[in-house]
Amino acid sequence: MFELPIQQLIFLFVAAVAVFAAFNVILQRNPIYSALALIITMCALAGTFLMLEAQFVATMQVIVYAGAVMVLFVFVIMLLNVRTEEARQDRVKYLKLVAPLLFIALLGEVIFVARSVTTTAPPLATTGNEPAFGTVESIGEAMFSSYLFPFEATSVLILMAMVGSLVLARRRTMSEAETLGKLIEESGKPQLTPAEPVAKLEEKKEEIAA
Amino acid sequence: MQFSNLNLDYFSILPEIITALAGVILMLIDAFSKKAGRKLSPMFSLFALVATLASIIALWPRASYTASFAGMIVNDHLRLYFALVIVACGIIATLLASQFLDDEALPPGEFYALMMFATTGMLMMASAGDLVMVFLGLETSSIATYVMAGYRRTDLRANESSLKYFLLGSFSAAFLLYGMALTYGATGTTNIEGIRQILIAGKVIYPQMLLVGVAMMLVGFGFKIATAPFHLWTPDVYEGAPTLVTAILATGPKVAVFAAFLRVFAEGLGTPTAPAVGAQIYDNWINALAVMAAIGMTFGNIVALAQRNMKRMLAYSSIAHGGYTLIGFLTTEYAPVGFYMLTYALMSLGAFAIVQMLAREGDAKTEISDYAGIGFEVPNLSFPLAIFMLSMAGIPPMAGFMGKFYVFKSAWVSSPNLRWLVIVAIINSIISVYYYLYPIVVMFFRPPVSDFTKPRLSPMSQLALAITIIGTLYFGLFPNGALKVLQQKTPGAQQVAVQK
Amino acid sequence: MPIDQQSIQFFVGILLKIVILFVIGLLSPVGMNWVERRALAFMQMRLGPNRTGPFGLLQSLADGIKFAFKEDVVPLAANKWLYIFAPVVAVVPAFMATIVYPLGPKGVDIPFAASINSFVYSLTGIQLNLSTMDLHVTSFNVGLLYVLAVTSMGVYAIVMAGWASNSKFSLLGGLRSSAQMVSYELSLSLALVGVLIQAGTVDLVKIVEMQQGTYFGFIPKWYVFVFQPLGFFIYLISAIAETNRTPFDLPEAETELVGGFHTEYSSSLKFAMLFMAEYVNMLTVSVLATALFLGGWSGPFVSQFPLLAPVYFLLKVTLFMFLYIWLRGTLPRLRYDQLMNFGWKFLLPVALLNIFISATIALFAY
Repeated sequence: MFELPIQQLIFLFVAAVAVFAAFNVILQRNPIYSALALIITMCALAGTFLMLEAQFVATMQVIVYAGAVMVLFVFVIMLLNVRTEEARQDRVKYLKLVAPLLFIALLGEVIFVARSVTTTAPPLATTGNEPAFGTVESIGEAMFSSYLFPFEATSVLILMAMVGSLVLARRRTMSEAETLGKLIEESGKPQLTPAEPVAKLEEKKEEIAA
Repeated sequence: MQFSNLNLDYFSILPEIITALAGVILMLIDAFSKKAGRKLSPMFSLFALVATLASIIALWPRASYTASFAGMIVNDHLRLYFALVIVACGIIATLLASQFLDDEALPPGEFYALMMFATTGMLMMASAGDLVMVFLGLETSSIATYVMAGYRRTDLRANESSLKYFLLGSFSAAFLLYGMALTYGATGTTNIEGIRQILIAGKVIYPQMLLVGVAMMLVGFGFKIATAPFHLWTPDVYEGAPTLVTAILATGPKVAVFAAFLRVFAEGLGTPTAPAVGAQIYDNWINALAVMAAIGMTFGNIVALAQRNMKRMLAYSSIAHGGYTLIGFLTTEYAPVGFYMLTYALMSLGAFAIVQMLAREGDAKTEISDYAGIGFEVPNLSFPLAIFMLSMAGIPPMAGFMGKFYVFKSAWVSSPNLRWLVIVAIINSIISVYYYLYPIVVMFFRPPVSDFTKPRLSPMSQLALAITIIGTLYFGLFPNGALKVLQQKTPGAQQVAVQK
Repeated sequence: MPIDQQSIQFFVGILLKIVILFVIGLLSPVGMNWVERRALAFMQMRLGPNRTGPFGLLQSLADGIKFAFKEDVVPLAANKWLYIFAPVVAVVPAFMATIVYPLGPKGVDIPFAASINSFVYSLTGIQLNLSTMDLHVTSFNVGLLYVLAVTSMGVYAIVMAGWASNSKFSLLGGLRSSAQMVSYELSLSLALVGVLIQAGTVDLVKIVEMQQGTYFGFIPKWYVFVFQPLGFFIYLISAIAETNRTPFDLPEAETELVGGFHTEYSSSLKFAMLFMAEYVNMLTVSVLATALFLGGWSGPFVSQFPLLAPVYFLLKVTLFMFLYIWLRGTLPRLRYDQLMNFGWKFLLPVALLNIFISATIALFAY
């Protein structure tokens, strides 16, 4: 609607916030601060997407990353009530020296690429009757036409990831839990730490295996 | 948007559909019949995998360069051949899995389901015609295998292995994804054939960006095939994971990643005659790959010399084998890599299967010294293991020799300026003979350990072993059939139109 | 920067509308609080606040003054920065959502536009050309998603407040609340998918426009009647849970957790901000319910007198706000496990079923 240089100012502001917050993520010792800084990074990235007229991606960035993923991060950190990062032992001292060098190398690489890129975007091939770029409609159309198969394949991926995380997260299998319950009943004394029945359960397992 | 151009050819994704559906059904079987699941699940997954095999064979006459699903799926000989190997690996692993799950008293349902989903991901990698599909397939198979590596939840080593695999796997996936993003930015398309067209036409928008993108992708793929210098996760993960899972990790996903690797690099970026940046890119990646191959072989073999744990030894040997396989890329044809992967998969699966059977519950006995003197106690295990070891070392009548020979010969012929690599590889194979022979020596010429009991062998495991042994010998003695299949050229090498 | 009159007029108009919505947002807690206390009192056969002003109307204002002048205590053990920052995080996203409230249609004739123009000209010498206005601040392509995005930020305020207070009650309240909000956000969003399938757009104003008119002359084309009744109920229930209101007000269950995440916030302005954010969030979910399911500003004679639109709209919103109070006076609080079971094992599957039904209808009906 308006050609304003203010857009560049906003972009610079958002980008600066993103970078500053990203540094904070790794520099903060308190995990809660790190997580909160990461949320700010996500929101700032949403801002840059907005400046690129990718409105849908911007809102999704906020809903999915800042609104859903990070909530779980913060939730878990709070639940464990980790106050400060546990002191770690640096087993390999020289890595501390190597890391900045690698960082500088990567930075140089990025600058190398960035310098080669012109600021005017190459014209996109359009057929003329597509919905406007970055809108929900255009993304929806792409998702259900050219990217139909990846879209469906992603559902398989997510289903499997869900099942997989459950497999790893559950403490005992149902059959194990049932046997454990029986063993506790047999021992006659309900106890908070079922160390004895667990040992018996292991024995049972060996029997099954044998 | 041209909706007519999508080419929704459901027949061409039949293998993927069968395995994905089978995964879902396996979970339902587990949910609704706890008792029968233990027997029913392996049978059903075998059935599904054989059906997948049949569907791949049925697709063979339709092999062509025409891509379906808007260029996402390519149904050419490369895809079909690698899909065949992947499904064969899946069948052998399934045969072995039932005994593993029974011995360890682990819940069966999810394991088979995860294996099915992993196979789906691997098949997607083989059939991917687009970087998006490569990544999705890679993630699908990786996440399934992360979970499988930690499937023995009570075992700390398995947990470590799973976590390490997950962290480093995600890290490498990030590299791959970043590379893909940069490549997309540089060329304006994610379609592999489209990238090739753009390179040939010399229409790369940002050549520098493409260089960095390709380098990142190389790193990502390098991680996934565990070649040096991106191999550091391999020994720990292979050692900690349950041996059966190690067998799966070392074969199926590797075969699939090689398929995708070939598709992206040998096909998409294999443009030695393209103008300007196209040829430069080709030069760069082929040289980088040569160095990676040389380091991988040398490092894998030399470190393997010092290993006293069978699984670690096999892990380093698999790094070395990854290096050998990379030599096949010099030809920019898929036949050498494909044949090497076939032989490697067969002998690896066989070797790991025997290690698993000898290791007992909880992988207690995986040191090579545990094998002392068992040679004549359990000849049905020790002789096959000897065969696989000799095959891996590349001793003539076995498949491993033919694989190496074919790769080295084609590389020697096709790229005269990289012949040093072949020489390095031959020296390496000679070094490797030492550590491959070591377990054989221990098995047959050391005094037996006292507390050795014969391991149980279920009929399914016996069948799996038989398949691997016969395969190893067959492809060593009569490789022509497989090579003829491999050298089939997809008819009418007509390239797909650039999308968008 | 080219400054022309068009853009000045545009920005001033937008700013004016934002200010109006901001004032509505600021005042709604005051009014709502009075209504809530009085209505609740009558439901429980009490009188409620009736001393300050006529019918106790000034009670909320008096409370506000008290908040402003009380000593501002920061607990010694609290994490000071997050403790102070949390109310800000609560209020800002809550007010950000107000800019997409679709109070009325586009391009409504401004009454007495010509006389305003000439009046301003005679006063300042600036020639305005006011003629029409949109009865909403902005209508953009991802309107609904924008609301979901900014309201999803609100959970951090509760989490931060609960954690920074460094008190068991607050932490438990914060944890409960975040778990609850994450759980019910799923069914809330999924309930909206049915509407989106039917409307074919995510723009709130367009969704309301789709619901104008009637079937057979008397059934309004509101989505609550046509095809989305199930979605409406799922939305309603999850919205109540999202805003932590009875019967889902476990995060601040007085009997167990004193005050939940805001236990340590003494009645200062910070507490007032948390309080205000809660009411603005209630307003937002009510606005969404109105716009998505009850036809927004639609009603009799709107097409002839467009200025009726905001009146209808606010009436419908008030209806929902009253429903909140009504429920609070009627229903007991759920137990925590009941809440989670209900959310994950009942509401979520039903919401998925609703999507399935909507998609099937969409397949055959359009």
